[in-house]
Amino acid sequence: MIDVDKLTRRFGARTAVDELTFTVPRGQIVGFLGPNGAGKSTTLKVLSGFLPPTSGTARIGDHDVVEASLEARRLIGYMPESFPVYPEMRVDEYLRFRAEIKGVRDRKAAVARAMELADITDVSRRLVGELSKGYKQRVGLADAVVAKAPLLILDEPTEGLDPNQILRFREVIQALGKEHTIFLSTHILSEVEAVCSHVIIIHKGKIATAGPLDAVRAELSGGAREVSLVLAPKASARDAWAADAPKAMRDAVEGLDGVTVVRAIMADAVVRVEVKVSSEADAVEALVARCVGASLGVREVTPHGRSLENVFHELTTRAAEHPPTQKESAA
Amino acid sequence: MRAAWAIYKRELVGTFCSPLAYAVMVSFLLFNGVVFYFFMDLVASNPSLSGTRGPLQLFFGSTILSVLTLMIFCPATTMRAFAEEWRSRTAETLLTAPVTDLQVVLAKFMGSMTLYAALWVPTLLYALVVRRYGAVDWGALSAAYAGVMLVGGAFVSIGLLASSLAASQVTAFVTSFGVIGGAMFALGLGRYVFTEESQLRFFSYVNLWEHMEHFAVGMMDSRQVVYYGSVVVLALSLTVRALAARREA
Repeated sequence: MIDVDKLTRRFGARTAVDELTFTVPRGQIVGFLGPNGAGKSTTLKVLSGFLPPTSGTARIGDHDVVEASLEARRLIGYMPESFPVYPEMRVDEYLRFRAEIKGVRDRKAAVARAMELADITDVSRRLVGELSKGYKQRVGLADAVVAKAPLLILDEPTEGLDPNQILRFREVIQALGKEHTIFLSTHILSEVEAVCSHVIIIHKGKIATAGPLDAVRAELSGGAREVSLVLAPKASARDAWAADAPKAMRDAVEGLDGVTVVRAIMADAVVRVEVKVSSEADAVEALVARCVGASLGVREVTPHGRSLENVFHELTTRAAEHPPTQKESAA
Repeated sequence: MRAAWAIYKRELVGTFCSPLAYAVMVSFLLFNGVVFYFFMDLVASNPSLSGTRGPLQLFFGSTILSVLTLMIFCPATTMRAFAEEWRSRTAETLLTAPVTDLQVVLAKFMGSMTLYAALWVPTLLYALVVRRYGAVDWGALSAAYAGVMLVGGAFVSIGLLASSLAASQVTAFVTSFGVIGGAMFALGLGRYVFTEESQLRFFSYVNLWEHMEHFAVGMMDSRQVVYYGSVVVLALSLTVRALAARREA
């Protein structure tokens, strides 16, 4: 659905997007992730046909965004960042206008459907300029879906929404994902984890990593995962723990393969421990068995999947030090 | 063209729902009301004047006041057109819809022309006032209005070009006022500076003041239509180009 090849966009001497190459297959919900200023919005502006690329190509369906711009634009429902509006128009009036310039035939039904989807039917007669930011964003979503374009490009769609609206928004995105290909940019990682099947992470205009969500998450984990434990050692052993909890913990797991103690802190007769264990399932089991065997009073065991947050942080800070490895595709 | 029609309708909403349109209309009527009163009074107290030139002819031609009206109020009808779209970033939603830049420019042009025409409609009352006290040359008056729309069309398209390049409405106004005054008006003044026959012919051809004088007494020929028509086509094409250039930068 989206096919980007060596896409570069410069603003004067500054290179915002640097030889970006990726594809978004039909039917996927792909998250486009990166810190502020990574080049996300610029990429989306090129895809939407607003900005011409400096070099490289971008295709929507079979249409080049420069050569066949109108055809490409007909396939896209685009929602720009902090959705810009005509303040003097009413919500339904605005959506009817948008439906008309997008060539929608049954405008009344299309607008009603879009307003219902974006949950803005109750404000349909309000002036767009008077709406809160969250409502404006939802008008933007309604605008993007009003022509039932097969591809939705959403630039930071949940920015400015309150937590309830964000949850609702995610549900809507997931529902829309059944009929549309969705390419959404964000710097909020939990958003990607909540709705996307694939992710492309960019940093300083280049792709840091791309692929299915699980694969990206696993990519940097190096096979290790973190487990945190809460222990309540017997009263007789507490002095040793209070004196040097990390050492006591290291003694306790002595000889266990692939277990490293990251930190251990004792407070109020309870020890909170974080350890890194190799990914083999029995390493965690062996660790717990060892603690139980030593009567350490295991109260909680929490294994942590490697969060996208960590991957993101690691990638973007690592990329600052070393040039990133370029992946060819998100597929 | 359905898209252009939709954008035109939105332009009207945007224009007539903003206080700017009414501020422009009020100042237009105030200014021209005073001017018209002045000419009525002049003709009434100098019966010898009224042979060929009634107050309407004086109002539309003869003095620099009609030229000044065009120079000030045309930029005022267009300054908002694109500058506001860039400022509020709505240009991004407008230009990513499946519409060509040309459709957008034509719709904006028609929108500004509608406001411009709306400015002139109340001045028809002046003709009714004149008819009460004397004769109105309706043929000359039609030529005067046609001339005002023709010259206005050229200035409005120059205003749109300025608005498409400007960062704010004020810059758009000042730029188009400067271009209209500096190029369109000042160029015609060559008529009074140069003496050689060929130069005289050229500067006479582009002399706005003279054109207005001719329109006011009912004289309009194809040369003026071609001249101002060409300015419209050139300025609107440059506006289309400016929209693309602005996004390339």
